[in-house]
Order: sequence, then structure tokens, then C-alpha cells
Amino acid sequence: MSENDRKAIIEILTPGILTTVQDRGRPGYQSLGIAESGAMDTFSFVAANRLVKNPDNSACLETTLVGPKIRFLMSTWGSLTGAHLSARLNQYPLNPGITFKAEAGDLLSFGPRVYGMRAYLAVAGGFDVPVILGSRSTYVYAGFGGHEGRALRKGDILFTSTKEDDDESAFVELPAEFQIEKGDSFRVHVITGPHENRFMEEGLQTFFNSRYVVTSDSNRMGYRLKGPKIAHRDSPVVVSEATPLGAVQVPGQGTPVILLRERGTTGGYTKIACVIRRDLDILAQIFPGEGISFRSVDLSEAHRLDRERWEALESWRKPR
Amino acid sequence: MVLYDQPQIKPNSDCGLRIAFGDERTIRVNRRVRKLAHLLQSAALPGVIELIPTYASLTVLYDPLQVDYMSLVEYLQPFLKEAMTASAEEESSRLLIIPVSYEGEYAPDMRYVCDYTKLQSERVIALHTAEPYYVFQLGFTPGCPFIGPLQEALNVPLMETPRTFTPTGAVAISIGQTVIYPKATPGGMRIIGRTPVKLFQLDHPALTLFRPGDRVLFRAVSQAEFLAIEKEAVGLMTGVEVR
Repeated sequence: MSENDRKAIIEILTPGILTTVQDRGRPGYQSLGIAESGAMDTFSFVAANRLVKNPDNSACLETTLVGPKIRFLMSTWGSLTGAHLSARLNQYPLNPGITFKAEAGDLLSFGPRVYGMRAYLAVAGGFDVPVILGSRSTYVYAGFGGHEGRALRKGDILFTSTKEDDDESAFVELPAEFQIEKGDSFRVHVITGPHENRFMEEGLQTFFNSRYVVTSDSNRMGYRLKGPKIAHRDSPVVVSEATPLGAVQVPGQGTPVILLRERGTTGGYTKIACVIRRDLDILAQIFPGEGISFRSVDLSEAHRLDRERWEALESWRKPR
Repeated sequence: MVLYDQPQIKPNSDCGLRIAFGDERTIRVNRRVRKLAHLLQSAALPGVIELIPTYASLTVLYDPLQVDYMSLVEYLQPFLKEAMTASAEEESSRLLIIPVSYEGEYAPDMRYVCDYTKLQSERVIALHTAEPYYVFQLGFTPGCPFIGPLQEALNVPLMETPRTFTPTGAVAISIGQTVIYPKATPGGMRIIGRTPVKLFQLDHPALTLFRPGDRVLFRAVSQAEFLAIEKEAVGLMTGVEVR
């Protein structure tokens, strides 16, 4: 695609709390200390792209809790998935999991949160920002990727590389089974360990039998939980090692921290468990104050749960 | 301090497995980790997404939709055997000489370190600049090196409550290691100096100043020299002497 096909597609009128350009992330650089970044709720992100018939990894906007106000600068198909943040196109409500047709001058705005935490906006053709180390994702902490390495601000203009009026798109709704879970308490599955032997038996019992609450000190780097303290055998410090996406660290104070998309790639505190890949998407949608509990599964169960949802999505609509 | 007879493999997430060669911050263990990382890098096993070598273990991230855990463990076996033969001797790696100012505002924890170790600050600086250290791993934040082993005399504990903010370039020590914080970050290690050199540069092919296996010698500089280098240090290697 030539430079000439780049067209200004949206202008940010107000940015919301945290609106960033994201794709599926930037694998391959954790050994240099570079976290993968990327969409927190991968499934909703991919679903947004499938709705407008984009390739699965096309860049979307991820908006958090208080959404932006956006003016469309050209005619395009778009889609919204993930959290219900009372979006409207001009005066028309847009429920999550819907496609829409915007014309130049149309306004997309967000209102009060109904459920969830993060919404995804896709446009046909995707948002065209530079590919850095193989990804368009914004790494806010390190200040690179996405649009100028930062969260969007008032006055930012984003581009797309699509042909205008992709007639193949249409008004379509994401089936209910692919929408995010609603509720105020969520159960996530974990793989136990690798440091389970560093905890007292009752510490493990505490972890698996308690309800924890996501605190407001939670962001794309990680979630701090509050709840019953988990007893270590002795020291909470280990020789620094890889902290994969979803790792549940328990530092000395005894309450868990879940490490997410912009976490430190290595860590020196005991990891009691790691949230399975499928359920990271549930985490992404938990609002501070809501509850979380942990259930241990084995690898084959974790992989089955992960595979099944992608197969289900594919039976609805194949990737492009 | 433990060096395992056989590497220990276990899951580290549902798409990662961790191969541990020991439970210590030593060069003999780290050499095995790095040897395995090199072998697997060239082997390009199916379904393997990335390799994260650290002090004493290597985490292999894989896509469970492409390869299952048990098959991957099997594929790894010949490489594990070979990695166990890594020499414990230090290889002839490059030596990077890094300027550090240990003065005043750059060393907010120097007094604590002196109190804890019962050493004069001159002695702390002399020890920290005495001989080349070894880079065990990069991690935590982009380009952050974990360097050691630290002399026993400098062994201070982590802060009970980590700082919410450590300045860029802060040189810190604790639990047998020394790090340089590349970017303002929370951190619990004791800061005894600051370096003006850049540790991470996105448009440099190497991306990071350090590589695991490098040797590092810290050189004490005055605040004036620090400021002069800082003014010049726009990219990797500025202000760094490589031998």
C-alpha cells in the first residue's frame, strides 16, 4: 500500500482517561526487558477486527473506563467491542459488539460505564501508526509504539490505510456468547506455581479459597489485589526470573499482584500462580472494587479452554 | 546456593515453561542458561515464541495452539544435555567501562549503605569500582542490566517499602547484585550513584547497551564530568569505553 492511500480518519476531541492504539502486542523482546504491551482483552480486540473484516492484528483503539470524544474525518465502517461505556454515534446508542457506518463529521462519544473496563474501537483497514519492533502497540511506560509512544490527546489525528467504502462490510452484531462477562465477582483459572513450594499449605488454601478485590492501584502494568494475606514459608524473595503475562506475584506484604501487559519482564518475588491466557481477557474487564477468585487447572484444561473459544469465534467468522 | 544435577522443568504460565539450572546468582549457573538460550535460538523449535534467559533459569514461551507442553519438553532434551556442558569459566567477553557519580544527590542511600556495612563511603566506592562485574541478565524494564556478583561487604537488604520513583540512570545495590535503572521506575534497591550513559535506544540496532555475558567496570567520576557526559549522551555508547 502506498503512502497516498493513507487517509486521516479520526480526530480526538477529548481523549478520555487512557485511550491508546493497540494490536496483539510485541512478542520477542522480553529478554531485553521490553514487555509485550498490546490489547488487554485480546478476544474483544480480535472480535472488533473480525466485525469489520480486518486481519486479526489490525491496530484498534483501546479506551479505559471514561472514553474519548472522536470526530470522524471520512466515511468508514467501524466496530465497538468489550466494555459497555454508553457509546453513541451522534445521538444513536452503540451497544458493544456492533458495527456501524460513520460519515465525515460524525461524532463518537462515550458516557457512563454500564459494565466492563475497556472498550475496543476498530475501523475498516485499521489505524495506521508506525510498526515498531514488529508491533503497533503503545508501550506507555517506555514511551514508544502506537501514536507517538503515548496515550492519545486532544487534537491528535489518526490515519488509516484502507480504500474508502468497503462494500463487503455490513451491519452485523457479535453473538452474545462472544460478549464480555457481566457481574461484580469473577473467577479466573490459573496454573499453580512455579513457586508454590515457597508458601505454607494454609497460604495456598488462603489464595484459592478467598475472594480478592481489585484495587484502584491497577493498570496496564498490573493489578494490586486486597484481601486475606498469603503466608510464605520464609522469604518472599527469589532469584530474579521471567514473569510471564498473568503471573501472580506475592511480595512480602502477602497480598497478590497480577502482572499484565506493561509489567516488568523479570521479577524477584515468589509467584504463586499464573492466570491462563484465556482468562487474561476477563481480568482486563474487571473494574476496581470488583471481586476475583482463583481456581487451579492443569495445562491441558487451560489449553482446551483457550482453543475452544477461538474455534467458536472462527465458526462464527473466519479470520481474514 | 544450589546448582542442580539435572535441569528442572516446570510450567511458568499456560504458555511458558521454565528450565532451572540452579537457585543461585552465580556465573556457573548463568553460563548454562545462556548456552541453552543460544542453542535454542538457532534450533527454532516449532511453536516457540520467545526465550527469556535470566540468572539461573530460562523461560521458553510457546503457543499451545501449535505445540503441547510434553512434546516441547521432549524436543528440549538433547539441548539440555549440551547446555550442562557449559564451561563455568568466564568467556572472553567485551568489557564496558561505565562512568558513575557517587556524589551527593546522586547517592541518596549512600549513608544507609555506610551505616549498614560499617564502611566509609570512599571504601564503598572503591569496592564498587574495584574489578569487572558480570551481566547476568537484562530484564524488568527496557535495557535494565542485572550485574554482579557483588562483594559480600556490600551486601545490603532491599528496602522494606520500595521507592515509587527511582531516577533514570540510578545505580543501586542489594541482595548480591547491582542494577542501573534505565528509566524512572519503582524500585527497592539502595541507590549509591548515577550514570549519565543511555541504556536503551530504540533506533540503535542493538537496542540495549548491555548484553548478558558482558563484563562491566564502574569508574567513579565527579559531578562535573557526569554533567559533561550527560550533555553528550544522546545514544548508546556515548561516554562508554569498550575494551
